[in-house]
This record gives sequence, C-alpha cells and structure tokens, in this order.
Amino acid sequence: MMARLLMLALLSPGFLPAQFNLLLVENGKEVAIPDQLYSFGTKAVGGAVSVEFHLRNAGADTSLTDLHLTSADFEFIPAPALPQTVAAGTAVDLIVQFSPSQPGPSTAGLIANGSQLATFNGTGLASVAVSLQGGSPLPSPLDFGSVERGKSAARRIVVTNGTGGSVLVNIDTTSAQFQVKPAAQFPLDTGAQASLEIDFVPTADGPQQGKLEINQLVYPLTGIGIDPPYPPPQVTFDKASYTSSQQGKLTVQLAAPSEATGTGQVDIVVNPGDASANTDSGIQFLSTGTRTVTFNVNQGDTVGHFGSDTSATFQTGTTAGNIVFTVKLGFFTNAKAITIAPAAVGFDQSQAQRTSAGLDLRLDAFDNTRSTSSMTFTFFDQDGNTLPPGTISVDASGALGRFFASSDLGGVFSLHAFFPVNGNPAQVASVEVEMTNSAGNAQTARLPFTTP
Amino acid sequence: MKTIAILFSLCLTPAWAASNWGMPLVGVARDAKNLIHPVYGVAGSFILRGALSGEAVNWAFAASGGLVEMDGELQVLDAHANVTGRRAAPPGGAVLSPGYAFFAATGELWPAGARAGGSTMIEPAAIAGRVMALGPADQRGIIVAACRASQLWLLTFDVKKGTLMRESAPGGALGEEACAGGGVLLVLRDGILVAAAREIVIQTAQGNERRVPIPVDHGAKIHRAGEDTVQIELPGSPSRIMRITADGEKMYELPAAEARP
Repeated sequence: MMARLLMLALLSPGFLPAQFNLLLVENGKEVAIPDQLYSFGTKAVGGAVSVEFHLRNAGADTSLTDLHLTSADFEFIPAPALPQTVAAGTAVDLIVQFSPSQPGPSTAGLIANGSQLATFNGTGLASVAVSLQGGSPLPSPLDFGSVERGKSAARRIVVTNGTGGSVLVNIDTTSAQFQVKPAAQFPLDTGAQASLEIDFVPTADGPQQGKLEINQLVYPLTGIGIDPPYPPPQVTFDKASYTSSQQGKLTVQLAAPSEATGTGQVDIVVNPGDASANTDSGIQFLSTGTRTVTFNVNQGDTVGHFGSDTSATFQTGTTAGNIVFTVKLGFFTNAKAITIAPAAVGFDQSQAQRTSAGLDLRLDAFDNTRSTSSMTFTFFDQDGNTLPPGTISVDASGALGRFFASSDLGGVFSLHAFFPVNGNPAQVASVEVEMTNSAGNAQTARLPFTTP
Repeated sequence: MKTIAILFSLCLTPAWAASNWGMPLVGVARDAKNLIHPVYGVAGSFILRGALSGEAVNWAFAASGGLVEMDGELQVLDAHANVTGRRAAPPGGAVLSPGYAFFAATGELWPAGARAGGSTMIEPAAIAGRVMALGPADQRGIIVAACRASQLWLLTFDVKKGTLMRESAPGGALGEEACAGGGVLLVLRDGILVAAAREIVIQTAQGNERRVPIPVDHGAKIHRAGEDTVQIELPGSPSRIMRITADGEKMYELPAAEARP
C-alpha cells in the first residue's frame, strides 16, 4: 500500500523528478537559488527591474512546451519561443521583469512543462506619475533631437503625486549633458503636480544618452550633439597685387571667433588669359605641391591654421590670367581671385660662354602671355661697341609656340643658342637679348661671355 | 673685327637652326624624405619633379652637373640632373662640390666622373685641419675650405698632384663663425656662405659681409643646389631656396614634391 502511494506521489506533476533547474545568472555565472525562492525587492509602481536566469536541462534531450509566470506583474522579456527542443545539458536564457502594477506585495510561480521551478516575489511601492506637459505618457526614450554644442534643448515634464500621501520626490540624471531644473529633491503633497524642465546640453558631437531617475522610475533620455556652424571664412593676401613668378601668402580670416572645431580647405583654379594655354604646374601651394591645401580651425580661432602657420604660401606661376582661391569651411564657400597681368618677358638665369667653336648662350626666362614673336641678339666687343652686322632678329614664334604647347610648366622656357665663330671668339665680349611678346619688349642686361 | 662681323652674318642661320628650347633647370634639391629632385622653373616659380632613387646623404650641383652621395655610393649627375655614373665611395662621408668629392678618411680627392683609381691624394699635413667645404676649381687647382683650430682657411691644392699651391684666411667674423659649432658653409666663386644662428652669413669676394635671416636657431644645413642657387634645410620648417646674383640674395620657399596639379 505504501509503495503504491509513493509511486502515485512520484507520478503527480508537482513532484516529478526535475528535468529542468532554474539558476540565477550573476556576473555571467550560474548561481543556485536558495529554496527556489527569489525576491525582486521593492520597486516603484510604474517602474521595472529585470533579472537573468538560466533554465538548464539536467536530463536527456526534451521538448519545452510550457513556460509561464503566474502573475501579470512578472513577465519574460522577451517571451520564450514555445515549443522548443532543449538538448541535454544546455540551458534556455530567460530575462524576468518585475513591474508592479499597484503598491503592495506580489508573488508569481515559474512553471516549466507543468513543474513549478521557483517562486518570485516583489513589492510595489506607491510612487509618483510622470508625463509630458500635455499629459501624454513620457516616450521612451525621451528624445531631444539635434542640438549644437554649447546650446541646449528643453523638454517639460509633469510629476503627479497620486499615492494618497505626501512624497519626497528624488530626481536626477545619469549624465551631465542632461540637466534637471529647478531642483533635484522636493516634497510633493498628495494630488499635487510639479512641472520640471529637462535640458539637453551636449558637450560632445554625436549621439548622447542618459537616464532620468525619479523615485526609482527610470526613463531613457537621448539627443545628438552637433557642431555649431563655423563663422564665414574669407581669403586675404599679403599683397594688394601680384605679378608672375612670385610667392605670396594667403590667410583664411574668420568673421568671428569660431565656435566649431574642424577642417577646411582652399583650392586654386587657374583661368588663363589665353584659354588654350597649357596648365601651369608652378601655380601651387608650396606645403602640398598641389592646388589644394587644408587648414584647421579650433574653437575661438579667428584665422585658419595651416599646420603651425597661420598662412599658406603659394606661387603665382608664369601664366597671365586669374588665379581663383576658393575657401570651403562647413557650409560656407568663398572665392577671391588675384589677377596676373600680361607682362613682357621676364629673364631669370643666363650663361654666356666662349668655346673653341663659338659662342654658347643659355637663357632661362618666362613669357606669361606665351606670345613671344621675335628675338634680337646684339653682340659687343671689349670696348662696348656693337659688332656688325648689328642687331640680329629671329622669328621665335613657331619654335617657342611648339615648346609651350608641349610644356606643363606655364610660361617658363630655357633657350640654348649656339653661334659658330670662325675667328677669335675672345673678341666678343657680351651680348644683349631682346624679346617681344604681346605685352611689350624686354631686354636682358649686357651678358658677359666667360671662358670655362 | 671685320672678319668676325662677316662670320656672324654667315653663321647665324645654321646656328639658330641648332638652337633649342627646353625646361629651365634651376638645380636639384633634397626633400623631407631625403630624396633628390630636379627643380625646374624660374625664381619664384619652382616645380619639383621625379626623384632620384635612394636617400641622399650629401650633394652639390651647378650648371655643369653635380654629385650625390648615397649610402656607400657616389652618383654623378649631368647638367640635366640625369645620373651618368656611379662609384662605390669609401666610408666616412664625403665633402662635395659639383665637380669634386673629398674623402677626409682616406685623403682622396675625386673628380666627378673619374673611374676607380682616378683620384688625387692630399696629405693631411698639408690640410692641417678639418675640411669643411670644397670651393671652385679650374683645370689646375681647387679651393678647399678647412678649419685650423677656430679659424677658417682657404687652401688651393693642385688637382693633379695634390700639393698645396697657396693658402689664405678670409678673416672677419665669418672666419670664426664658419668653424664654430657644426661649421656649415659653402664656398662659391663669388663668396662664402655660413649657416649661423638665425642667419646666413655671406662674405663676398670683395670682403663685404651680409646677413640674411632664417627662422631657426640651429641645425640649418646649406647645399649648393644650382649655379647660383643654394638650398637651406631648416629643421621643422620648409626648405628655402636662396638665389645669389650680382644684385644680392633673394630667399624663396621650396615647394613640396608632390603630384602634379
């Protein structure tokens, strides 16, 4: 008889040998629940607290067909998929949330495949209600949108005491970028309301998050910090006007101290007077060797910084026309042009040498119009007298034009001319070279011949 | 005189046909990565183009060509900055001019382009000091700038025999500044340049001294970069190009060597 009773007792659902064990998860490790009783503590009505458990299968592979909690104040977050096969030795991860719907104690059993594995309890605490100014529920999260650094956005909330007694309201946020006004703690009589302001004051760019905590009630807060706009930039130069073959300095001036930190850039675009002119590689920023240079702006700056300098050096090249400098900073774009006027040929280096066979002349120069038409050579003796036949003219337009068409160096060129002499070259002391382009004539100094 | 005049008129047409136009080569310059680039353009409009392979330890260049010292090798450049020869160099570093290399460790003076064995020995006793720079040379002699104690001397050696032909001391403040500290100097045909604190000191052939400010206290290096061009390397600051003409000196900033626009 006793044996039959024992057998019946073992076969009833509440006393079946446990296929599943419920274990608490603390710091990622499973911990046994003493007496299978777990307390969620005290939580404000309207608030919630969540705890992680593992439902571990201590037997053979089995199907989990039933898993539920016996009180609506407790729920699985998220609800587990049912049915599901739980392999031997594995566990189902569970998050149980306690959110008391009314003040006072609350109890629930956790039932798995008909067996109660644990008992949960918790206590609801009478608390205040929190809503938006118009009475609508506080959204989760409470979003402040995009706000410039240094500025703020405000949201008003209303705290209502519906507990039936006086309440000391404790209010705080978890991030300094979300601030509560006017006070962090105040008493609130039963039935009374208090209007509060929550300010989002971003100190960094990008998404910012925090929490609003009111008497154990927690409300997520979110907002996005964005850069304030830059002041309008303007390009200024170290000279009022420029000519070809010069190096100048450019500064980016800001209309006001910048509230933003970031990077801008200046680009060069060349509009040659002769639209068919080849590119001029000499027109460039020296720090990059290109036609683009970047600069940094920090909060409080009134000028852009090119590395450690407040100006960028550029070359005007050797092409007549306009050089347009366009500065870009944030949403602002501003352009300023300098005009390089057409000019007569500019002479740079020269080398005039006598050789045993004649006179060797090298002349480096530039023609920013690329229109040189004629050249003249005048040779002088030791006494400074012009040697017959006098000035010798040469049409340079064809050969020089072909050179310019193949060059990407702008208007620079190097002339190497050789004059055979059958007599004594030492009697030729010097030479003057004159070149004519669309802007006028230019003449070298008297270039003395040397003997290497 | 009449003969020359006639020859000019007769020879002009074929001469002009033989003339050519090209890109003006200012000289060569070393970039921040120690690579040597040809520099084209004119004063104030410089363009750096493709680099020679290998990091340069030292170099000197003029209108007729130059020398570049790489690690253990000396490269010879022609007037267009093309490498026309290479020669293994003795250890210890070289003092360079565009046409000669002097190796203090061995006392050898190499003319640019000389083959192995084509060098001249200079006895240390004849120098009696520390060689700082090589100056202009002609077919007979070369000027060697040397510090004897704290004073700069210009010694002229026979380029074929290595014997001392004459010597002189430039004197003045420059003479002492050249030998103080690192003693960074160049000897050009028309003067001597010394890199001093915050200035380049120039003593002309006539003995006049001029000073051109530079933006660093120390560490400036000067190199013969072209016929009348000197590169001034400044630690922490872009290199400068100094053009030296009969009208004086003019300083420019050297562009970075980057892609063409």
